[in-house]
Amino acid sequence: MMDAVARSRLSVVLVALSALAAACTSGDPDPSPTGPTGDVVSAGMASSDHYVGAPQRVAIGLQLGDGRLVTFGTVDVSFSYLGTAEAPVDPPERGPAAVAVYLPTPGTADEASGPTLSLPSEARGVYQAEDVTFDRAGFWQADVTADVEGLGAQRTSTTLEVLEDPAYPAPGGAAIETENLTLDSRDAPPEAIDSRAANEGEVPDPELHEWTIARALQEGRPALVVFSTPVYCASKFCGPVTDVVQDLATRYEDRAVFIHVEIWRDYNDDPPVMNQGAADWLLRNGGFTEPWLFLIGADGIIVDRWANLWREDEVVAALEALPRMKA
Amino acid sequence: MVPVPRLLASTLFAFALVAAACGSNGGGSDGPSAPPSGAHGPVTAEAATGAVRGLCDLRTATDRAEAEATFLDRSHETLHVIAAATEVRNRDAAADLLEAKQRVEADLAETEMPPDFAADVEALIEATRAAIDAIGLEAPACPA
Repeated sequence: MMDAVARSRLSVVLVALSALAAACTSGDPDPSPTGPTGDVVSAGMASSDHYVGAPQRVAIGLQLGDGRLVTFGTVDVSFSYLGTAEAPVDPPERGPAAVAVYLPTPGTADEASGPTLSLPSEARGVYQAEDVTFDRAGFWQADVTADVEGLGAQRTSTTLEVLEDPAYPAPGGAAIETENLTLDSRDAPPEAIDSRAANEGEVPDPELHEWTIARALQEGRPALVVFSTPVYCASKFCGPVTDVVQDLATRYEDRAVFIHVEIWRDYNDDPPVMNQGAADWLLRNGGFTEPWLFLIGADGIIVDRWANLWREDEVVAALEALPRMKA
Repeated sequence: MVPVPRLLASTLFAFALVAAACGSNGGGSDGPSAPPSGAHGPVTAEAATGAVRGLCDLRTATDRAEAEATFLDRSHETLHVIAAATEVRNRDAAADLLEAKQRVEADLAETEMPPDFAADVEALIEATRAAIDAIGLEAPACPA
């Protein structure tokens, strides 16, 4: 598993280089199709920890060089296998194809239109394909085609790595019995329970900090667990996604217990110190990504997981599929 | 408790990198030396200046929607890039920046502009300038 994550880190570099190349080729003699302004749409992976043999979500962000985002509607994605670092495949071998649907950041606009360009203040999100199954481990290319209003047909690509097995806990696997911090963790500073306490002086969303994952498992309670750091987040989605879970906690308290696991015990330390509960689930070979959301069933098996962004209605449907808990 | 050598890239690394490298007319590597960089990619002087100037304009905003648009369109993404570049050199400065940013975001999440908004933006400007200084770029001041 550790080696797998090390490779995953390599994939991030490859993805970055791929996206960067795609974004910065405006002076290239043979660029991808461009719009009237000469802008080029570039793609970047917005999901991670892909693995072989199971249907999963794949999310891709589309952006122009001037900071505008491609938003709304759907785009087409086709995957092709590039091989491994040791055994590259040339030409790439065709793999699955999917329609990816726009997935807005919580609280931002979604419109029933085709793909269009938006400023970040108008709309921001990614495109997500569901039930994509990869049959081999290695590097895959995702070719995205979109008919963007004002730009016309656009084609861009990015690269992702597919592991033999998931690095993080995944659907069908057992949840990790973690003693995450709660409001009863007297030895922990408030900001280790929720980083927003550093600003607000007290732990917000107390209903998300009452249960440990270990206790939920021991009592056979379903649990919806968000791993995030609202203040020190690496992506811009952390705060809103924690808020979404807090909202769900007020509406579905009869279906599951709701838990927020803060990533950092002490972000300011050198080196920074991660909370053990977050490390148990996410730290692999010195690296991690966040935020993540996991739904754990009453039997302790992971029902589903989401990375970075998720459709609230998907999570709601998963919660409503659970039997009501006994009081 | 687990010490972590450094914060590694988020899954949106590539997305942010593209924005940072190509956000200013596609130019990201035309200088004699590589710009300071972190998990979200390089910080150009132009991008840093643009982000600070956006915050300067934010100080006097009175309409919440307009303020949010100014923040998101001109500063937010670059602040993430600056914080990531600062994080590997001066964690305290990075933390100050992220904490100040979160206070402004919390203000903008309110239905009405809170009375502390201008002060919170001022604190964010100072934290941003300190972070820019920490990564070796010239920290721009707000126009008089």
